[in-house]
Amino acid sequence: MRRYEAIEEITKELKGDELVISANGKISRELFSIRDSACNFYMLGSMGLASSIGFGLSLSLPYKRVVVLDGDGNLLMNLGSLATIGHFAPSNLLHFLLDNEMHASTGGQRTVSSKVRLEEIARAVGYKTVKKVSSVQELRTVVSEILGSDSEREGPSFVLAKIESGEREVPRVSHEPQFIKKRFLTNLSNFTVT
Amino acid sequence: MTSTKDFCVALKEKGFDFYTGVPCSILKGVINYLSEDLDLPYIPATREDEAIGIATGAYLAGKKPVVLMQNSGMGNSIGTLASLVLLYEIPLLLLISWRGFQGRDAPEHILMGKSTLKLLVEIGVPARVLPKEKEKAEETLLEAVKIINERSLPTAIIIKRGVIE
Repeated sequence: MRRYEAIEEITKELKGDELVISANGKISRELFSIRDSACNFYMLGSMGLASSIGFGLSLSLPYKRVVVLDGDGNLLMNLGSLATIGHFAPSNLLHFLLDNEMHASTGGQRTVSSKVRLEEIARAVGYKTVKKVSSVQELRTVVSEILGSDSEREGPSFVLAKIESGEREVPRVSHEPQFIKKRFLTNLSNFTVT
Repeated sequence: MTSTKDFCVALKEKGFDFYTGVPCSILKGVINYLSEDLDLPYIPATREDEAIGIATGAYLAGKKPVVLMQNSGMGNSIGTLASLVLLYEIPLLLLISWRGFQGRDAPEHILMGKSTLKLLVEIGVPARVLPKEKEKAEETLLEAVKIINERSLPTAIIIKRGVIE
């Protein structure tokens, strides 16, 4: 499964009102190219912090589902975030780790996730639902289980999706950072009012 | 001197409703009072840049967040301030303790103590040192709140030992 396919699979299952935080680099670029939305917050810099931003959101908006699209390089840079999330355990947080065992955005340098069992760390810190998948079919099943309307799985959930290398040419996120923020905030305030 | 209680109550009255950070002995009274006496949410982060990420998420959810840290931890946060907080204009209030002020401190604090204000000014974070006199301290807080509300910029208040007791 390529990263692009994984993001397509995940976004396909979204109902549309979930808040999505994407890690910097190719993950944000691919999400932008697959499904640009006012509900997306593309993190352009601040590598490592996608899960922290998602955590702050999910704590503050317990009635909204928050989806984090994280990468192995990002998560390894801020492993403490897993502990903080595990401790507070917001049930509305769904944390995807798109794990290609490398820093693909900077040219494919290896990370350590080929041997380190990140899903076991997630389990140990207190994520309530932890899954590891390596094919599109498995991902589809897990995503529909967790996001599906007929199930009320307790979060926080952690889904580690092993990703093969291989890139699709995608453009950079063309929105200005302040536009991304304002659009996100405006969309949320409309939602809160209605 | 401003009492811990007055300072914390003023923060609450100004609408700051979400707190996160990494402790410092200079800020211990403030952190304890906010979370225990005022029952405001305080999230202990593992690192200062993580705290800034959490606060950014809270801001995106409509909260008015405060990040508390020691100036040594501000060193850990420069990249995050530059490529997240200033880039997107996230108006966070940063309460930063000033270890190493005037070179009188443990050796690990001296260099950052000398550079704290300069670093903030250099990257474009408005910064104010909290004055010792109570009335002036209130004015400083008001100024910071004004920058946050009107210009949507992160703003730092630098706190020396003994200014809030």
